[in-house]
Amino acid sequence: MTLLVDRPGQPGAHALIIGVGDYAHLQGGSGPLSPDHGGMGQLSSPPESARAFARFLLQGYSHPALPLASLDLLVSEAASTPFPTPADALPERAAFDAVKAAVLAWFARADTDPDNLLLFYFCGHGLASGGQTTLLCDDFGSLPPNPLEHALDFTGLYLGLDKCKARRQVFFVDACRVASPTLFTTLNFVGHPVIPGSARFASRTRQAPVYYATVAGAAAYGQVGRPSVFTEATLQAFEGAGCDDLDGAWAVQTDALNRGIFHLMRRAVSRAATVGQLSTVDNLTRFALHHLAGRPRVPVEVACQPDAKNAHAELACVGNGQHLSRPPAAASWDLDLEEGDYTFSADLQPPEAGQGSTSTHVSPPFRPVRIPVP
Amino acid sequence: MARLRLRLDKYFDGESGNARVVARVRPLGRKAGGAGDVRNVTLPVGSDSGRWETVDGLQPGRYMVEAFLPSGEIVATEASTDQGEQVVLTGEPSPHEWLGFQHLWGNIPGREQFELERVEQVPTPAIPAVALVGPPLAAVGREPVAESCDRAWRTGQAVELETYVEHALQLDTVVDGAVVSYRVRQGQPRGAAGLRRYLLAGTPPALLCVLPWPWPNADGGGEALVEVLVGPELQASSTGAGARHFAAPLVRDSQISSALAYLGSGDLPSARKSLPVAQELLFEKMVNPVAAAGGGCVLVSDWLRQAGDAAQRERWFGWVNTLARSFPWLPDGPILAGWLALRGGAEQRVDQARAALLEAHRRGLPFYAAALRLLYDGLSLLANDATEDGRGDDELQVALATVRRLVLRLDVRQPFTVLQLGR
Repeated sequence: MTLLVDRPGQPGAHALIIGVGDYAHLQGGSGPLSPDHGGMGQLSSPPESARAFARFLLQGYSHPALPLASLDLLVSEAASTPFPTPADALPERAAFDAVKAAVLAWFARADTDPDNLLLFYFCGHGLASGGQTTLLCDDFGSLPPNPLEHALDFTGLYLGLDKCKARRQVFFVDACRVASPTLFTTLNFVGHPVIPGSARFASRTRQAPVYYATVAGAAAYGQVGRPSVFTEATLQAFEGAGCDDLDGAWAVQTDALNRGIFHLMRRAVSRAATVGQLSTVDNLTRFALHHLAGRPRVPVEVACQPDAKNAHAELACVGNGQHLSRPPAAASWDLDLEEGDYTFSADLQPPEAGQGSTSTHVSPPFRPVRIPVP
Repeated sequence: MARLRLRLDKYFDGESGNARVVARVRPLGRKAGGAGDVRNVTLPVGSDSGRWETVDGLQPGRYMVEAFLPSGEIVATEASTDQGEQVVLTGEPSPHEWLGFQHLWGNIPGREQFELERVEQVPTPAIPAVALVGPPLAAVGREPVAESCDRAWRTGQAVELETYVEHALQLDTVVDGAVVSYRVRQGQPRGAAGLRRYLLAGTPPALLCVLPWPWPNADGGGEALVEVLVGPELQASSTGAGARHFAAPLVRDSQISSALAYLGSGDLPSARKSLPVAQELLFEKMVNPVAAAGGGCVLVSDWLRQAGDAAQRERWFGWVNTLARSFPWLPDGPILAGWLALRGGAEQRVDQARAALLEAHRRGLPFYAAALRLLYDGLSLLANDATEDGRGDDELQVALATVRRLVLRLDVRQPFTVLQLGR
């Protein structure tokens, strides 16, 4: 456990953040290679992703009724790096025993008030097939006869967390969910749920969406030395694409967050050529997760109509005190704009000629803008 | 006061099935947190210029109209009440009119992307499929059944799964390159009650799709078109390595097809919004029990969350118990009943839940992926308790082992059950 925040007493958000990049028994690791490595190796993105998510919770997260009550951070990386807040804490590594202890302690902290919010974030290797997802701790493969001995049965844990009093729970699973022959051969064992579910437990039904970086069976993508595509999209969605003001002030709502992540992922994936990764969601419901201090920033995609004219068009955007422009380029123009009214224009350059413009209101989750040109 | 009339323009071949998508109408120029006049609505989709959603009682002014499609596409336009009341939204075009529904559901990319991918692909022959008619596949995870399906594939025609088949299911096809739409020919004899229909698609390891056929429209308006789109897997499949194709069954139903599309995308709030207001039509008349089960899959989490209302609870229990009792060939009914018994009220009925879930397992493969996952979750909870108590419960353990194998083969992107066979 590395409790960066622990403020018991009031209802609040209790977060458990796990980032695993250093796998001793996968390719390139420091230990004996597991026969079940399945082509998996070392990752540089999960530690950065976990830190970025933790930084957001410490510095950016805001919810008047659910302040951050606890935050536990586990990170496995080749060279451990202190987390600056508070006081250069060195995160504990995410070996299975440490993860198990952290999950149990996290459960206990949140199991005090039905108004608490459980927040779970994992970035690292995962295995999945169909409706089953298993997350790999850093000592995965250390016991060759049973590699999943050091893996977390996320599907089972999700069921088990229904026993927690906290009736609002949010899960972010930023992991490859490639299918594994291991899962098929072990059949009746898919990792440890840590907290097994029970049929005897009955309470008010929880609201507990799960955001996955990718569909089951597909690879998720990290970025070397940077937070992953999914984590970047999620954190950016918290700035605006994942919010609406239907209940009053601008707030990240769990259903709007799904749309925001989807569009930011689509944009990022086309940039990074990580084709195939599309975020997905389970058990989506609606509740406020984060309140914005100002106006939301909205992803905007600007292009000529027809698209082929982009290559000859100088594009401009005016509004909300901004004047932006871009020289001709074949791709569409991706912007992040504060919510508000804007005018977009296209000025065709030789050998083409002509102009076009359109005005529109930009609001979350995403605004495509098409400028008709001759 | 002013009003707007809204629709989303999209071309389909043949029947549109009264498709609808969720949308919102949001006034522009108001301050955040101020008195809003946001309207959550559903819009008709299609090329019928006679179908509109009317939004009355609006303050004159500018509005943003946004439609959220099951594919994830957002179609938005600004409208002003002083510029006429009709607002037509136009989204990304589908590759063909016959792929319009599949594009709306998110099973196939838009025209531009489709053409791009087709250009990049080596020409591929269309992926063949065969229809199967037979008894419920209670244990499709067991190898003998997978082998039986493989045999069906090799024979290339409708075959017996067990010992009796009353008729072969006739399919029509529409093809573009490797992408094929298999459509169940309408007006065929339905055969004996209790027979189930499947589509086996692709070369081994093949995909087994549960066909929602026959599918009478709940409003009594005839039979809905059931189709399965089969094509090369553009992304890694839900069940991973080895899958070369995808299969996407859908139904052009007048009542719940849109809700099922959102269910498949994981967007439950939109699925609920797009269910018909008159849920009684779905649940009380039971014209189409498979559709009612689909509605139940969309609503079950709401039912569980609102179970404190005794009158409502009794009504839902009544519907679901009728579904479970009256249609012994439908596994999805007892799955829903089992969950209502587990979590649906102040008084928990674990024994009743156990009996219902085991009955569902005996009835065979659920029609809906969501129901199969609920069955897995419910059996897991019961098995955990048996283990904790040191009780042996062989029947439960056998059912759980079978269902786990099915869940591992499930394509979770599809609302209807699609399994990858082999391995």
